[in-house]
Amino acid sequence: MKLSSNWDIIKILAWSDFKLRYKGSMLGLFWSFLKPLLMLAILYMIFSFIIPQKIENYIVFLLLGIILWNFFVEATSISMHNMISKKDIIKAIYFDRHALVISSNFNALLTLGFNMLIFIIFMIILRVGFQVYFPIFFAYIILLFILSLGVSFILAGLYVKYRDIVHVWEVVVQLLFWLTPIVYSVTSIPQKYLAIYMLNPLARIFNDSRNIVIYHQAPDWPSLLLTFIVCVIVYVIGYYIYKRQSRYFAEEL
Amino acid sequence: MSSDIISTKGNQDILLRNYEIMEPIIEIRNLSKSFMLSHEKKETLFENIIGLFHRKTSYEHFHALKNIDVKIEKGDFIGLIGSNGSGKSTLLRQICNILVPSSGEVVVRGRIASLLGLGVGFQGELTGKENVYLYGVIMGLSKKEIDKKYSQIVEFAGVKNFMDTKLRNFSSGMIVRLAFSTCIQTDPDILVLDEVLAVGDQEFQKKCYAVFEDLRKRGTTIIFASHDLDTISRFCNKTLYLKKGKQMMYGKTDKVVKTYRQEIISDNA
Repeated sequence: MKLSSNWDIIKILAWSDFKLRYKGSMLGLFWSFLKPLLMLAILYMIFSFIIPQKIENYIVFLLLGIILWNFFVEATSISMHNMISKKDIIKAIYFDRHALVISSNFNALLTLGFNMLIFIIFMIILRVGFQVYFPIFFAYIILLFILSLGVSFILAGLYVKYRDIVHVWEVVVQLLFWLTPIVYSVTSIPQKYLAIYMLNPLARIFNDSRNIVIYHQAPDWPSLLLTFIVCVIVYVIGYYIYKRQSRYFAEEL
Repeated sequence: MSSDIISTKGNQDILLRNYEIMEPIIEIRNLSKSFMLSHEKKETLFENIIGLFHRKTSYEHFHALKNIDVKIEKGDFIGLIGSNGSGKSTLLRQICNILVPSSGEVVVRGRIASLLGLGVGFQGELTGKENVYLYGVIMGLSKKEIDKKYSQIVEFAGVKNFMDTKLRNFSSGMIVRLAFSTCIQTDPDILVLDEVLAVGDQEFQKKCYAVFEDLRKRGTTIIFASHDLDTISRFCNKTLYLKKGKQMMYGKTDKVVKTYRQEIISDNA
């Protein structure tokens, strides 16, 4: 798509939606910091006392998982929600409909940016330290962004016609939460299922990111390439599904 | 086809230049549009699955437009008349590429700005200012261009003191004024208006008429749907009369309006 001509639309949509999200709430923007911290507290209690995990630096391990996961869930659900909330614009004006989903993802990316600040602060306080390969982590964030764009395109495109999608997705999100190494480590997965387990691009993104950021390992380049390929495939599929569906949005909304 | 021409901004100018002399700016070729009205509306996946086994739901094809065939030349000021439900809005939305034709096609050779319906896509929770920016960029302006034109837009709309209040506090008249003034600032080749001026007050209507004159001089093509036959007669050189989705008459405004008036009288009698 011609990102350049749509860039202004995406920027303005993303920013105004981001502002609206916290408008009227007393704590406002503070919520975007508070949410991952509360989730961290809950999960940390469960997985330190009730089902203890033997994982080094478990707090930052968990926090990184939570903020990446929150981004993915937020981006996809905002994308679907925006189809309904932007109904009037869709019905009244023609513009590249892809801008709606892209702006929703940027909206969620803003939250990820704020959350990343908290994460860095935790890294510093807990003296985890930074290594030279740290910037590769941002490559994984870009991959996560591409993946969540692709998934959002599929969901949002189908959602306009099939409103059940939102409920189906809620269940799938629950399933994915446990099929992605968020609270546990990939090492807990039995060897014989590992290959299948790692087909989930989220698993690779989460696992590789932690290895680089927290455990200071050298990047796993083949894994990075593989993740890239899977994310791009999902994106392309999503792009075309959305393109096809979006022609009929004005009639179906 | 038509969507390519609308969406590729860069090529438009070239296309426009090439076709300026010979080709009409808008060509509607044998356009039909029907909507599926299912009497038992199936919206969810579950209902669709059930529907697979239960093929009882009856569909009705509602023909909103039937074989419309119209050429609009650059600089034309087209009136669009017809009673409620005659297909005026559907036709305008087809021209704006919001709807997909059931058959036939619409070819547009230029950049469109549209003002369809009262909501026009403004967001109630955003302020007047935020809405101008959102509407402006969607209409194809860049953020910088809006920065430049912002004061003009606000002044023309006459809602200066309200720009930082949420749009849901605006009256419908104010919304239309704001939308119209943003719309004309996008400097379109084609302006599509759907009976929007009816809500504005006398003073604003006068302002709009002045703008119409100005746009006409500049060679902007305007398509204007309205029930106000006097305004149509005053501005439009050509008029299209629709009735139940059919193209009843297209040509010189005087003739079409006269026929329309006679038909209304005979229908009522």
